[in-house]
Amino acid sequence: MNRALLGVMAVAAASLAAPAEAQFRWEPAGTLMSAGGGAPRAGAGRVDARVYAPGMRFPMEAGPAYANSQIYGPGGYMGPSGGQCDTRNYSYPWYDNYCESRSWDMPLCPSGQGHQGQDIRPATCTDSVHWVVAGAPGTVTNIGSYSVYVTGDDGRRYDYLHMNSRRLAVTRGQRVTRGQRLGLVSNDFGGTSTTIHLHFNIRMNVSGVGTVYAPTYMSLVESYQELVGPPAYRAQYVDQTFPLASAPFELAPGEVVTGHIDLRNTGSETWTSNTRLGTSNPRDATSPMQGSDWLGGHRVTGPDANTPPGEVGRFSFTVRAPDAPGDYPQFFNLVEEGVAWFSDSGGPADDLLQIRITTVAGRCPADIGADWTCEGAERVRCSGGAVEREACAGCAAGECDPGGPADADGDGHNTSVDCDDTDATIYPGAADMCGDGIDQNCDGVDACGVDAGARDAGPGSDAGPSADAGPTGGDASAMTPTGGLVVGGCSAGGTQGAAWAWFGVVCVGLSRRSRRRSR
Amino acid sequence: MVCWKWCVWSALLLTAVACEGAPEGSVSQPLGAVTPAPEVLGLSSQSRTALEGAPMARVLVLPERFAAESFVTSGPRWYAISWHEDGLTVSLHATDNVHAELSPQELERIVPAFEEVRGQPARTTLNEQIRAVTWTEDGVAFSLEVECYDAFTDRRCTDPFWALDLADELTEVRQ
Repeated sequence: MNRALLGVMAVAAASLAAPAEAQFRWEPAGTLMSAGGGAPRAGAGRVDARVYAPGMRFPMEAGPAYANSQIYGPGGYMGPSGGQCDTRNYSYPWYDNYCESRSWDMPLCPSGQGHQGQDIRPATCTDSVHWVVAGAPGTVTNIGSYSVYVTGDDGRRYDYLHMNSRRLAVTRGQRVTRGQRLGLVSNDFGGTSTTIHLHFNIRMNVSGVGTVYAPTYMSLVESYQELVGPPAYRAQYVDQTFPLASAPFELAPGEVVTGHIDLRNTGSETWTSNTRLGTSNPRDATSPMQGSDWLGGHRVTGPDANTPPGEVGRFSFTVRAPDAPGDYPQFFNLVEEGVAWFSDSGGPADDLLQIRITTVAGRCPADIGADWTCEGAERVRCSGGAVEREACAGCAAGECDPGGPADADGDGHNTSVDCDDTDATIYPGAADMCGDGIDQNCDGVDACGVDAGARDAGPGSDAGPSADAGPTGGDASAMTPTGGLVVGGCSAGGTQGAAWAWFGVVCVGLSRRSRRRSR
Repeated sequence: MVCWKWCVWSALLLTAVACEGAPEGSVSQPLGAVTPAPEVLGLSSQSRTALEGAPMARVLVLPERFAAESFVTSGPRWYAISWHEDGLTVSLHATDNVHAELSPQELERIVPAFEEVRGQPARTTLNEQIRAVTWTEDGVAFSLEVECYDAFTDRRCTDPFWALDLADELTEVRQ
């Protein structure tokens, strides 16, 4: 099957890519719900990928469960119309709602205020049927009107709110194990009620701040993945031969580099030829560095071999430095054609794997020397730091076969590149005399900037369109001095970098009066 | 003489190395007994035992009027007091275990504490109408929380000063 057809197939398949409904998906930490229907945004989340309770068990006995907002989701006070049982509230992706807009002091929130924990809906919108379980072993240290606190041996406290207070499975002082039932998800809020959900907090003593409600989202994501099993499609970066983005990797225009990226299959499905490396961030954009072995402009390749879960898959391919000098960053991610992008399944994010090519003029690729060599029907050599190409009818041992373009003046350059095949002093790379109005080196201008067009123009001249077109349709641009720079690799930034980005703090407290001052 | 100096320096060095790996706020001195204050004597024997087991040098308890219904628990790095009566739940949680989670750059952006209890900077917040006051004394982080059955109308929860005043009333009982 030819590559062009494969490319077309890839395009068609890409349009089918959509996440499976049952596949757990989650928005990155700090991404709050953005309610539709013109409702206000939910505020500024805390971008923090740390797991504050490593090894924690997911606090509901069974999945599925849905972390999102009770306020900004459908039926919520600030959300789109609907009811709390709206199916949209019971679907992926998850949303962080730590730091969601509230007027409550929260030192770790970007605004200094926000929601303390994470709201989690159980599998169905049914009261008192879904069990809440202990996220960590510990002691039940407090039971309030609508709260149960369990303190772990290390002093971390796990808060479970809004369970059915009449049917709790534990008592104060009771020792509980990880995963032990505590109560049923309900809507208790003391003398009133809330929506059916579990409000979950992690309370811990953070150095430099004191006891705070810590971000819970990534602890929940990690523990939920453990509960529901690995996602079908997930990859972990292992290695690559392309230089990392932080290291310069220079190539000439048109230079081709062969390499590979190794990724470990950390999902549950085997990677096959349907698992492909595609362009991402944005997805499916045609790449300027497409190599001749790619499946298409936005699909690179599949794994070299089928890759079962746990194994490392190698994706071998070439990249070609674009002709024009410049910087060409390109992100990639895996996609299971017709099923899901890996970033929608288990990761990595779309802006993590990167090859960044910067084309630099003025140098030749390492594999092109001063002597003519054949590249297909062309012959190429490095002349004066530039790649020189000549189109031939055929090429053998660096020589154009007879019958190829003529070299009437015998200067070693045929009519596909020689702008004056009647003058042996005029050919690409020749010394260009300044101001004589003659373009001796065939670069389109006289050395001092006098346009050679006046002399060269005309039917049959080198600059004329008919004369420029060689057997392969090459033109003067094919002889433009070339050089290149490629920088490639796994971006140090991307989602992970963004996840560690610092957040600003609005010093709302400055406008407040303390108790001492107000008295 | 030389040997004596060497021994002293070695001991100091070993002490420094040992301390470097110890968690901030860890217990390094023998703990004193809990004083027989009224706030303690009013506790159940089970709670008094748990309080004696509190692993830190500074131990605070609720005022005497809360003692009879206070329920004390303690663990390797914490102790807690829970009190529940008349639609009101009071929880005091203390730990000396510090988790170094934030970078210096993140800490620079933390809003300073604007309240004060027991002579210490304190923070207040409201979590699902549960009012909380937090502060640190002698490396022990305290959190006092007040939860009401009538969360939106009970003055003990709607008045931010009620919890702050209660925090000021806590009694130190470790000798």
